[in-house]
Amino acid sequence: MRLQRYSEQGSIFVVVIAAVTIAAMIAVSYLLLTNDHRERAGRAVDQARTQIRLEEDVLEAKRLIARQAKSGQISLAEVASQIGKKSATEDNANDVVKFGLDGVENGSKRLSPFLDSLTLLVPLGADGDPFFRAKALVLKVNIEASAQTTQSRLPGKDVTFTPWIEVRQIPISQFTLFSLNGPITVNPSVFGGGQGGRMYAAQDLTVSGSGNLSVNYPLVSGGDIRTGTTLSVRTGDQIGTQVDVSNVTAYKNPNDDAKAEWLAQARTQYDSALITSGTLPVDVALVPSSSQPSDSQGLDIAQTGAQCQVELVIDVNESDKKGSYRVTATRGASDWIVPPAAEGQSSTVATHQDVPFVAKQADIGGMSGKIVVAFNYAALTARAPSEVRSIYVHTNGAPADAVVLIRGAAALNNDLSIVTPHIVMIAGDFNNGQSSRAASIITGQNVQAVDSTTGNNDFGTAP
Amino acid sequence: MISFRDQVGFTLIEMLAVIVSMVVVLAAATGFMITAVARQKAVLDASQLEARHSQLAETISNAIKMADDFQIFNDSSAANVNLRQQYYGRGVPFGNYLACRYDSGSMVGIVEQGFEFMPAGTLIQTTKFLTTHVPEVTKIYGSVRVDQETCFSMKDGILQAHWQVFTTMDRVDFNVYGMPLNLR
Repeated sequence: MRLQRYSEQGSIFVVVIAAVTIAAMIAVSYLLLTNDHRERAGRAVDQARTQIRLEEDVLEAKRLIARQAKSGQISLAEVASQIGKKSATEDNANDVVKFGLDGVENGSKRLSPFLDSLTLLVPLGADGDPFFRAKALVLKVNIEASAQTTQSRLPGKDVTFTPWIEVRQIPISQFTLFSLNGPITVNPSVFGGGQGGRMYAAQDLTVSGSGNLSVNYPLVSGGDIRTGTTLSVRTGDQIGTQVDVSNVTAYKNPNDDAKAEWLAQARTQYDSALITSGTLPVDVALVPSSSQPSDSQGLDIAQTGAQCQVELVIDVNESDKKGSYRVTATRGASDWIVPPAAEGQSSTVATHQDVPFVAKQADIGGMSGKIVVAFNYAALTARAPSEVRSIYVHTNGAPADAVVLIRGAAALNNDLSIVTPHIVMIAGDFNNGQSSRAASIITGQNVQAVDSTTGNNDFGTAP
Repeated sequence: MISFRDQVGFTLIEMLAVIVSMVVVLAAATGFMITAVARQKAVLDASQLEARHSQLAETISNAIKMADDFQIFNDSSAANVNLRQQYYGRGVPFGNYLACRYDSGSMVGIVEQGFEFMPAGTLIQTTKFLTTHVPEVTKIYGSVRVDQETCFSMKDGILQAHWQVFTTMDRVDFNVYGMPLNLR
């Protein structure tokens, strides 16, 4: 019996060892499972971190490309180099960011400040786009950013990110109002039929005054937008995209709770009808001409004027006995310009302006003592029906001392650009015919709408 | 020898005592086991629910980040009025339905992901493939409560979703914030 009992004790010992072994195996398996779970969680965190890092690279690339576009030259090789340097310094050596410009890897492109008539422009079609339906030259930058997670003993995961960036060159003529230097105040009454077009202001944009206004495109501003009138804005081509934005303030930088309410409404209730830099960062700049330093975003009137077919100079140091200043053409065909001595002064000027350009000192539009250059478009088309489409007109005096008064331009026969460093007043309607033309008035001073009869007393009626 | 062996057997009383003791011990052990298993199941259910909602939060975050267009509506029926192929149109700053669309390439086409909080306490995720014939996918997440008036908002200009999940163990808050890359 005792021997048998010893034998039974030995069996129990074996059973205990087996049980301990099994328990140890279970424990080890559990630990391995837990460790694997921890590694997976670590890899997921690393994946999120890698994704954020790639997004930062893409956003940095976007900033670099925007800066290059403003300087007039896009070079993706340089962008790739800078992103590569950044990745190397931050020990992200396995990050790969590739760039393609219209399908060309690390391509480069010089942006032209002026588009020729053969350049193929495409309409920006998407509803919700701040500049939808504007005809533009679009450069597409494709980005392929990829990396692999490394902070785990498990096999790394590939993180790939393939966004694209559009660089759009939109001609100024696509805008009804475009201001880079100062705020814009729009009175609905200046728009014929209460219909307004595309507007952009780098600073505040205000719509106020009597009458209703319906604008066919979103209002875009680098500052605040204030609508102190009845205003509706279309945000797309489709039905139901007309948004009432009467008496609304869209803030650029809301700094209290009341203003911050706008941020919640901007993209939802108002459907991006009013766009400020607080709701959508829009980088807008003029492509600089070659004479400008790369960091300057200002408007170079002289360079812009140099692109015009005709350059007219008013000599403010020399006037005839009736006070008219001599208008001479320094570039382009100018046989349609009639010197004051030949026709303008001998005719009865007070009844009708037959000469396209007449300059004299006059008080108009609430301004006194200014030299007024009266431009009667109807007189121009009578003399040079289809020749002249871009005119650079300026005096040899200070920009603020002269006013260009545009008259008789309610309907344009052809495309027209007027470039001047002086204040511009538009008498009556402008480019409001049955088929509107690509037209632009480019100035470094204010643009103001005045009554259609303005200037009749000094220059005669128009058209 | 035989009579000696007879003397080492258990008496009936001893047997009864042993059986009763074993029943008591086994009952206690079984009760403990059942309680532990039930508790473990509750923990597991809570973990699974939490994991599902974590996955939903991640899905919402990704949908927001990738969106070419998005909008908040009061509910999905309000969204259907505005439903268009490319563009949502007007919405509301605070609502219970979030719709996001993105172009997933030529193979998959335009994908729309919708998330709707139902007052009954569920969040419904729908994935529609607008330009292909892939059937719509719907997932339902339960045990949801929303402390605010609505689940989705554009407060401070940031698209966000807030909801709470009540598991058998705990209350878990989910907060998702995001902006589409093309708005950054």
